[in-house]
Amino acid sequence: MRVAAGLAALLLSAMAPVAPAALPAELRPTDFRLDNGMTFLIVERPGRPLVAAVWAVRGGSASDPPGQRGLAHVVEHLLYAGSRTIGTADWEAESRLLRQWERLYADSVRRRRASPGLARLEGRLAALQRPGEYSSIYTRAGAFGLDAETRHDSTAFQVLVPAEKIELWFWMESNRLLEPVFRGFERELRVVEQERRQRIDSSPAGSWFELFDAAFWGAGHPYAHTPGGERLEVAGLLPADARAHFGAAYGPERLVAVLVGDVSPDRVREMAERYFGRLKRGGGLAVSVRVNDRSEPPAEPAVGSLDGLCTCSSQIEIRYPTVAFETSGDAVALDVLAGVLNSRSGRLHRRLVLADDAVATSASAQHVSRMRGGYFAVRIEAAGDTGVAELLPAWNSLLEQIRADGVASAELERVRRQLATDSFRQIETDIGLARRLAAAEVLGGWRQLDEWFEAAAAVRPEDLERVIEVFLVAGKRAVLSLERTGEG
Amino acid sequence: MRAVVLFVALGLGAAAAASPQIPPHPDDLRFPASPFAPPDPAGMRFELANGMPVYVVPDRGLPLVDVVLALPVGDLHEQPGEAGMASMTVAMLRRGGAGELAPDRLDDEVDALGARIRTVGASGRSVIALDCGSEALGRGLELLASIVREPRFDAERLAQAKGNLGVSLATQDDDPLGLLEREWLRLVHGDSAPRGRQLTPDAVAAFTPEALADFHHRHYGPQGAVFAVSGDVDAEAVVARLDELFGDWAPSDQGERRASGSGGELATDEVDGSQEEEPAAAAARPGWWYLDRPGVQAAIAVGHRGAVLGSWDDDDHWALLLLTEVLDGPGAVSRLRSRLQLGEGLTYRVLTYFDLDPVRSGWGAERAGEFRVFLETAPESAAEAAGAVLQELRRLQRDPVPATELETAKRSLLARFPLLFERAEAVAGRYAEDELLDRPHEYWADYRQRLRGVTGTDVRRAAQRFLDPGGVALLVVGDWNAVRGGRGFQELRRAVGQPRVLEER
Repeated sequence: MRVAAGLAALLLSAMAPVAPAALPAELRPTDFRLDNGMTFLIVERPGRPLVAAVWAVRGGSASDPPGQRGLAHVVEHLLYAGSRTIGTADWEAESRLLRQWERLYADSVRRRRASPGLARLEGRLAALQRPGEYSSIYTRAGAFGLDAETRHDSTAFQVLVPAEKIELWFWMESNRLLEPVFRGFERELRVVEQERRQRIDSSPAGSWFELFDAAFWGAGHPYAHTPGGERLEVAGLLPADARAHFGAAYGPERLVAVLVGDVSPDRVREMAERYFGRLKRGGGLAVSVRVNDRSEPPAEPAVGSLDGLCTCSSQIEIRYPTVAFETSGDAVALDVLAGVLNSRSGRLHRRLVLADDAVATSASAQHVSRMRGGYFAVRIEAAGDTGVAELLPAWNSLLEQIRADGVASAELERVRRQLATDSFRQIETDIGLARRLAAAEVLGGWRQLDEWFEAAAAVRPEDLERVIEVFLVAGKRAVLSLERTGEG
Repeated sequence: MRAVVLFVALGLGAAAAASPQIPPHPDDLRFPASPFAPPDPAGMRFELANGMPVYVVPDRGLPLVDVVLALPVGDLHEQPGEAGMASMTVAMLRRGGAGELAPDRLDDEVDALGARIRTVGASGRSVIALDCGSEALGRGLELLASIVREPRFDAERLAQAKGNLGVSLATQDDDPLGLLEREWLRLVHGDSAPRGRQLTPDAVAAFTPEALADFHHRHYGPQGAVFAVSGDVDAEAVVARLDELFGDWAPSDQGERRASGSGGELATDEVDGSQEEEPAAAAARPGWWYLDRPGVQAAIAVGHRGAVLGSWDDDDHWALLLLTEVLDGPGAVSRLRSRLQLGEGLTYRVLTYFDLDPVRSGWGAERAGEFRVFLETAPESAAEAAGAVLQELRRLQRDPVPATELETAKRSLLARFPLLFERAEAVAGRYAEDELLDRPHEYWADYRQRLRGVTGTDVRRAAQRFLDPGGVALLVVGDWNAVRGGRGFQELRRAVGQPRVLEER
């Protein structure tokens, strides 16, 4: 076996230029909308034993009202507490006790001490409640991967269900949307707090990045807090707050369901009408919560720097404010620019990690674009004997070099090919495809996946040079520098 | 008239097949039996000229191909002074250049293809995986072959990787979870066993291009290695190409000896055949240990050595699968989850692993993995949560699992069975792994029947044989003052003895 370098180069150049990688025909969804506004996408995949089922709602932590940061995430958790049918031994009896409990609980939160009688009520409720029944019905049926995620602009719920039992999904999901019961409220707040600690507080740099997020977006910006929310504000939430959010945010016109697997679109349509057709359009609710109202201009992202000591490797993140999510123009050019900088043969790794005067053990770039704003981030971790102060100058000089040299078309060709393959990898699993379709549909339509691709394939070197000039400007950036401290 | 129709619809809804109704409870839904049967491996297996097996499962959905090469080379082959050598060797295959390609050129070529070539070093195996678009497969396979057969272990790239490794050694205790994992493995296996051994600056210094090339020369070869190929491929064509690239690969030094029956070179004492003493489950250093770390969250690992069974045919293998499901399965039964999460809201996550590998001939008890329960909770609840885990282990040894609970556990486990073969990649990987583990393919054909036959008493017997609540290593990493002042501290001390601070390395 021989590897002839010359031949390899020939093979590479002989390969056809990458065509825009749209979704392959057999993975393109059939879509329809119910009278109540709920959207369904179906990708039929004959022979698959499991159906990947995802539903998502427009609206996430960015819609948390002031003083209630974390509300959307809490509601996501509470949606696993069951319904009037699931999770209870006797709904009539339980509902009477729940009403009493909620009054006493609100009282005790207000007075910051447990109201008398609360514990006794909880004991009586525990005898009637069946915690975990919702998920155990699914798992008994062989469903798997029950999970949910609250993001800034959307919230998604997913599960894999055996194809022959897909009607169970229709039953369970429409049921919890139709008559949810937010039982076990206080315990769920504790679990949410545990999750927050696990995700953020336990990671050495996690709380610094949380602070950086807050400083970058600025107080009051919908993205200034993470979906996990603020501990004290979460602790002060009441069941009525959760119901208000649910009523305003989970109307069928905001819902998208995606099924990928061995299901026929006709049968899905029949079941969708029968089960989800029961949901009433939003409105008719006393409380209205502002959900992702794009009209309100967010605060300008901050310029400046945040320096800290951390029991972590010394590192910096440089953030340049960019633009909101789009499938064209600068937003896509910035996505491609991140690709040019990344990967082993990319500029960041070559210049900052591998070169003789390397300063870093790792370096990467990312363009984050959401509904109401975005940023281009470069993250660099310092090599052993490098001080954190050397990292920013190293990035500055690399950026200068890119400005001077421009971007070669070979670099761009490499990125296009990687983007094409990467995008296929993201939909390689049925659940991955379902999630991508749901996210795209919620944020503006699944055909955005194609549009983004066409735009990415059309990006030229001068587009990259333009976004570098416009966005990667020292005067507009924010920098987080973390210096390693010996003591934990 | 209208009222009458409505009445009929309500009263006879169930009988009106033309318009199906919504039953009041999901248990009233009726489903056809699962049509699933594990795919037949017979037509998937091919062989290269040198005998290397190749499992191919085509799937034309997306223009992507996965090619995975797994070799039975791991830390068990490391000689004294070679700690970490197996992982470092496989990691440097991709990074250090190959054949005529210097490292930069190799990176250029892999990236230009839009391909990824990834390497994994696990305890008993080294894995090199190519994934790429199907139009790039031809060149991708050439690069894969070059990386595996003619690695260059470039000195500069190795120095750079060692520098990074030095940084991560220096910072590895920053993450309390990483610290917990490493120190707990030391407690369970002892400092010198392959799975308990720690990477040290001395070990890193021993990684030289010559040492890696020597390790590669001694251990890398077709013996025991297996390919799994899935995705947008033609089976005959890809096997023919692999045969051109790997069919003439001759066994390595050690491979020849292993194949000739001398057992090859193993770092551990060899165990003679099947008559060996059953190895003890207890941790090498049992007891309650702690590391005082400030923070709002405490992390806990509790457990001991995993099960070492004589063969894949051992009845207790199936009983242990159900035991794990009952204790902390992802399915409908999880005693730990219902107690710690749903009951008390103490934790967001509990994770239980039980390694059940039978002894590979000649590999002995060193092959034993771990039985471990891992959880995070507030420090004030740490002792209470750990105590609850130990109580549940004792309960498994004391009481047979009640019939209804066992039935639910079986249904969950059986219902998840198709998931093991969900995609082409999983099918090819699972059957290829059979060869690597000496697991007969019939294991999967018999899987459901064997599980159905397990009784509650079987589970108790397996618990008595393979669980050792008195021999656990319990490690708590967290704010020790808060742990000591928390609930359940005295009770736990009575159960497992005085907590001791774990000495810093």
